[in-house]
Amino acid sequence: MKKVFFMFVAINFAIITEISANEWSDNTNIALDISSKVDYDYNVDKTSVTFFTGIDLIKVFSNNKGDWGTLLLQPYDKRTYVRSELVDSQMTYRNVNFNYTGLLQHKLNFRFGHFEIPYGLEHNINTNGTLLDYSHKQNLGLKADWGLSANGIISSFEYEFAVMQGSGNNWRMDEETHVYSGRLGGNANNFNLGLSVFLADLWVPEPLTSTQTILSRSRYAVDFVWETYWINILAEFSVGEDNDEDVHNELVEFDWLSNEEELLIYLQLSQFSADDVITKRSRGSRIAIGARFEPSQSWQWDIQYLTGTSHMPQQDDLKLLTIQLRYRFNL
Amino acid sequence: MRANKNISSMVFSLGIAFSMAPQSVAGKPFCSLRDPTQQIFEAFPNATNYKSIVHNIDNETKKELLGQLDFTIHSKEIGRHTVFFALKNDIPLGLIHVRTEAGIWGLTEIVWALDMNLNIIDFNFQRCRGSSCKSILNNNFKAQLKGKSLDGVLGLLNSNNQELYNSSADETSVGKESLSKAILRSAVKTMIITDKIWHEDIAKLNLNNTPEM
Repeated sequence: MKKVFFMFVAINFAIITEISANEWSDNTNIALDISSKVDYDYNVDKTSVTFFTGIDLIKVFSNNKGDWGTLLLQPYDKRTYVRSELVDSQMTYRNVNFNYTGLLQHKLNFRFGHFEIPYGLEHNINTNGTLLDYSHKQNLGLKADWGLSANGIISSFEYEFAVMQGSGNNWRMDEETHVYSGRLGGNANNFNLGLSVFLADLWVPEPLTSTQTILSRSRYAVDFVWETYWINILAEFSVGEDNDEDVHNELVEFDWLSNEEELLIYLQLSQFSADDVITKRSRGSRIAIGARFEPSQSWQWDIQYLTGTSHMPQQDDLKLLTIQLRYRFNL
Repeated sequence: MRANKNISSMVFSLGIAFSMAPQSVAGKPFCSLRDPTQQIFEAFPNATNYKSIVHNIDNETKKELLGQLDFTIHSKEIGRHTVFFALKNDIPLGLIHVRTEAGIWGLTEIVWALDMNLNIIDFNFQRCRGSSCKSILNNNFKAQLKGKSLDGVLGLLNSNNQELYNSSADETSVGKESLSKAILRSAVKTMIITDKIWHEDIAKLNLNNTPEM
């Protein structure tokens, strides 16, 4: 896999270096994206504040025969404070990838870099920078990863199949970990149906020690989005295994949108297999109710109340109120 | 008491974070953008590829357009927008411009296929809710729009043709007007905006190539 990956990087680097300065300036969107998220945990009476500052860049490459590639760069600086004390600081890469689209009328494209794992609802619904979460980090172990994929659109079907490192945000070439994941989706009459598969070997912390161990994880999922009259119904159901332990997850969400879609109100219900080997809890559940208000193209307000089982070992159930304010502007 | 203090600190933190933010126009996170690939190749089956050209529709443009139109432009229509030019090798066949109209069930996304002289080739929905969405694509309304220029669409819009408007009489759109009227309004907006903002791109593509169907 290492050789294939490096070959892809080399080919695409060679293509990009051939691009003239004029081509760089055309069809380039770049925005500064800043947000402040405040979490209040009722159980421990604790407030944490997280600041995100990032660049959001998309560049479509074209020549006289049409588009042949898309570059997407979204590096973000994330800082979390508790009582004015910095407790976490890291650079995150939501998306840093190039998609080569110059073949076969966009039926077969090749993406490489850091991108979201093609799986489930998240593949079509961008939750980055919002409070919505389809639990991929908890369910799969990671939301995005470094790797390469084949993707495309054929008639009303779309697909993406990826081979990835299994390292998440950090670049780490490791023969012991990998992710193979893919989603096939179809769309008709405001109904989008998807089938996903996720097969991985991942590093996970060994309980009660600081060492790590390999976890073999599989998931097979079906998801759908049905947009009907005044409501959207979204669902994702999956089965699989963590090592040899059966796992199944269910998520259903109801969305209401205003006329111009500046206001979204949602209710999300989920049940999941808690992979907590310490407490041996077999099932967990969560309810999230929230709203997003976008009074203009630049501003976004989010509020959410989340209650239910914590994914963290030996923690009380969650009661979390989150408010987020976000501002984006083109540079 | 402690909770109140924490909530106060939440509000304070949010205020500090955004007090310095400049006023400008932005859009959705770019990763949420998806090309209407399916619609492009359905409208132009002979196309071998398409070329995206992005331009900004800002508040100044909005004001200018409102001077020409007697209907509103909603907030989602402002910002960076892409027109997709369908190509057969390097010859332009036409263009795809997706515009949105506010409806009682949320936004209706209409995919307009225009030729290089900005006459209507076809339209379809990327997203539309309500019972009339399907029927309007199959009745006489769609046939009446094909080949129409801006003047032709304005003629239909101002004709007060009840038969035309009754073709989608379930009042899907805001203001309880028929969907067909909203579509006509969208066509007018699309043609004017495309002509104003993408005029040079169209001229350049037309200059280099002879359009064909």
